[in-house]
Amino acid sequence: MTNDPDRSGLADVEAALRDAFERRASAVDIAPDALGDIRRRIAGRRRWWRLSALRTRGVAMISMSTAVAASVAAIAVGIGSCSPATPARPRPNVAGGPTAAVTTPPATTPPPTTPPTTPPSNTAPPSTATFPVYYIGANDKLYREYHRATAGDGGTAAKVRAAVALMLDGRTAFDPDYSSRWPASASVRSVSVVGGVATVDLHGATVNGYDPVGNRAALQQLIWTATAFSGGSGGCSSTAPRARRSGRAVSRSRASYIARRRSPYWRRSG
Amino acid sequence: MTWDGWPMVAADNATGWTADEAVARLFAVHYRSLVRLATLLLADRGRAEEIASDAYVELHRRWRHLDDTDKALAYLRATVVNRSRSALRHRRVVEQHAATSRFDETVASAEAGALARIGHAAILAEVATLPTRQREALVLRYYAELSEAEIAEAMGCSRGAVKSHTARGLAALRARMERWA
Repeated sequence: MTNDPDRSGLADVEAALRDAFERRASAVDIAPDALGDIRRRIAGRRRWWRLSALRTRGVAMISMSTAVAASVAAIAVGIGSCSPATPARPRPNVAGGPTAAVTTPPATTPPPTTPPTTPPSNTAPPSTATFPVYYIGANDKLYREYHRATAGDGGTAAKVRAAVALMLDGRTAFDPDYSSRWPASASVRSVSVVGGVATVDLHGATVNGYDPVGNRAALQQLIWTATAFSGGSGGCSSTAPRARRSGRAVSRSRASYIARRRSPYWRRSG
Repeated sequence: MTWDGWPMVAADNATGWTADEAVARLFAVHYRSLVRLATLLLADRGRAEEIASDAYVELHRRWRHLDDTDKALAYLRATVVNRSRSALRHRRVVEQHAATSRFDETVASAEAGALARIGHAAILAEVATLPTRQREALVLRYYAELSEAEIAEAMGCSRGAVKSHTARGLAALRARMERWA
């Protein structure tokens, strides 16, 4: 009949698949009170938000003070770590997971020693590095995971790029409850690191429009992820297609300030 | 666009529905098929329903930014695919063995002739061993009957990637089915 055995073989597979899926799916029915269940969860969430507005205030103050300390130390670290030659320090903080982002600061980390004079970016093979990536977990709080991935030439910008790329796609999180507040279409266009400030240019970052809480959470993710690789240094400016995320340099201390003012991001480890 | 933290005041968007209304209406039309979609992706009935209802809770949260029902449906689908993927990854971490056994036990209850049943079970078992993205592409295409663009949106990848996942998945299945024949 057909003289293309390839196609005809596939058509059989397609038909078999359709049939198998359909039969399997039709055997599945839904719980009797599924809608009621969803409504109860939505109602529970509303209550949680009202409560948390009161409850998190104390916590956020603590976050604030540690964050400020971190940013003071960060200036030195930031300057030292501008060089792409500084290798990533894999952090063996296995307790990592959901510990508080703000308690990891490099405040006690000595600034890296004087960087070598020539960056080895031309000759270095693709290197892997371990870096913290920040995701959004329950109730829009920020959680950290340590990921290992290839980071281009191993330079600072390459590491930021790799970390931010992981961060954008919430599916890369090890914990299924963590996600990213960036839209699926978001991708990294370029990353440059100059003078201790990382500039991250994102593409496709506004598709569905976002709720304010989600927007801020996304921004927090970016700031913390982009600044974490260098040991928690300084500032980060993001340029995204729409004004709100565009061009303004923000630092972790600023991020915590926003967090304190706006929303309960920070979860302290118990 | 407000920037003022505290959310959850049900607000109208372009559809003229409140978030509560939207959840109820979209529930009536799509919930069952989303549960089925998650079941095929996951081969885990209980978790599938949980994931579908998660998607509605999220939809409620984001409703004011989803200005038409098509977008809302796309959002629900993408959320289900995404969360199924996460759940699967999590499950693989906790239990290292293959997910195939789950397919077998549930498929056996489908109404069909014995021979056909074995065929379906075998195909689904093979599908369960495919890489996650390939399985997603196949389920979204041959169960949900979505277009390439819709699949790309639901999976959060490009159309080219959808094409290659689908082609590779089909080729792998064909190779295995030929082995039985």
